[in-house]
Amino acid sequence: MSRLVLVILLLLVSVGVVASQPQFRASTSLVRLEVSVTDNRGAVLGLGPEDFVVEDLGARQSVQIDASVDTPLDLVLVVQPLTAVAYTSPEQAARLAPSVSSFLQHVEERDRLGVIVGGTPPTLVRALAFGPPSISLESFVGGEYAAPFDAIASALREFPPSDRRRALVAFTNAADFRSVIDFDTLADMARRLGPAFVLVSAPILVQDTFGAQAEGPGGRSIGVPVDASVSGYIFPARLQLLAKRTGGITVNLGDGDPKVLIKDMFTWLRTRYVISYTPPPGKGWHPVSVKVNRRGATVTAREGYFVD
Amino acid sequence: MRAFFSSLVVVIMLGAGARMQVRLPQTQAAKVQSDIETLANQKAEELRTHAGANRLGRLSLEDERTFHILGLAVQAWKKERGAGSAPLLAEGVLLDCLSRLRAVRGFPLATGRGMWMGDYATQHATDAARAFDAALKIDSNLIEARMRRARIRGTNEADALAELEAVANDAAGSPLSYLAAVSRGAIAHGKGDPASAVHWYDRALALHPRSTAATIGLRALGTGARSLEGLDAEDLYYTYPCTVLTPGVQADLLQRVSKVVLR
Repeated sequence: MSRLVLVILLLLVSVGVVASQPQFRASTSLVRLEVSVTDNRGAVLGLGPEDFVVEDLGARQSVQIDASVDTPLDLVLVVQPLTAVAYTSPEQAARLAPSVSSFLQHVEERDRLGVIVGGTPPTLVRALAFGPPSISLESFVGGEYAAPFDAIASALREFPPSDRRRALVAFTNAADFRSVIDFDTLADMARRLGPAFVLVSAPILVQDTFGAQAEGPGGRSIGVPVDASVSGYIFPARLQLLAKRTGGITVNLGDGDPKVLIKDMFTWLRTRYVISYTPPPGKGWHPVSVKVNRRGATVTAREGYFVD
Repeated sequence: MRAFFSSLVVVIMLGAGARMQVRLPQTQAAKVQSDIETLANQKAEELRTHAGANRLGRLSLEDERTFHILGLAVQAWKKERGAGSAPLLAEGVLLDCLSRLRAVRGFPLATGRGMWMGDYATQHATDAARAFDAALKIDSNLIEARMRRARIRGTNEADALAELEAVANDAAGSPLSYLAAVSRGAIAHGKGDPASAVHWYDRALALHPRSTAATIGLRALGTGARSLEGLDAEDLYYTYPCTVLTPGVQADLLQRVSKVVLR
């Protein structure tokens, strides 16, 4: 049996569903990082400079902290057409529609909002302006194909320079079949440019089943065939990458009531610490690490910044 | 017995239909059975990991059927006497269309290609370029086939890039020149060559001043101050992949599709 040669033939068949640019602000004189700290009860407040350990290029920095609890927002909303989401994943579209409505209801007079639909082609529905929008879900319907990467790339340019809390909020499943901007380029832009990304999506159901059996000479089967299956919900990994790079978050609509999840998202957006420090010298990529001395706390911050 | 085992094959496939069984001594049978189960579980885990990192959805059965019918129509058309280059162009466009559906589960258009975690989209792109090769052998003047083939191969082949540039620079400035210019810009952009990307996006804008695709490309590079307002809401770059642009061929394809559906 030790000389058994296993030749694997795999045939998988699915049986189910499976300048004025918003450059990240880093001059030679000051780095300004927006940071969120949360634990299982929500936002962690009341932290001071002594509670943070910030490393830039591997060296600990002396920092200043500015905390805000209920800050106004600059948001650019990107919505992939719900029909395009449904093209590859109807269950995602069913969850996204009510969450988009919920999002629009949370925008306040003090907030600025821009809206881009990631259709083919992407279109600007509303330039950045104060107040809640009067936009219906009908604005987010149309076509089987989408270009969310182009829409997100373009949305990055909609942010004016500002000290206000900024976030690019995208409702998408990351299925993009048309964009000029490929995902790797977008991920690189996210690393270099402006605001945190908040990516709202829903998990897709994957169900693949296949069988395994042994065959001897002449194709005769040996033993009892075994069915193996893969089943479960997965959240688009691409969105998690974009969120991680920008100090943002993903909102998984499979985790509960969309209204509650969107409300929590706004709480997260409006609560932040701004960490400022003088950066160490050096051009190129500056990896940043931010930690706090609170057990069980999670820090969300950019992975770093770029000095040209 | 050793010779027998050396030719043993473990097959993983959908389902387990009725097959001829080979009887083995009990201890060997148990070992084989254990190997089958171990392998199946290993592969399931591999697939789970792969799907978690890559899967974005799947086509509905209805949409799969639509592509299947289009495929049948093209195959039937290719067999018609004197069909010429048109069905090959149509086949290439169909495959080009499918090649855009990256990370989406569906069936391979060409049957008999068992794929594990492979990317159908990549295979479709390769097949599309071959279909365009075949079409161009019959009619070397098919600009659409040249442009689409060059776009697919341009990420890896210098000759293809030169061909894309030739189409983009064509003095006639047809919509295909516009598509070639945007595609050339996108390739440069993806390869981290901003100067070249700007050049080709600018060329696209010269051919189509309200181009959404070129404007977005320039905005992404930080060189375009233009707003998204007032741009072409029906920009061909976003709509052409699944439609044959060469006059007459799309209509001829739809005729064949009707025949397949009626049949």
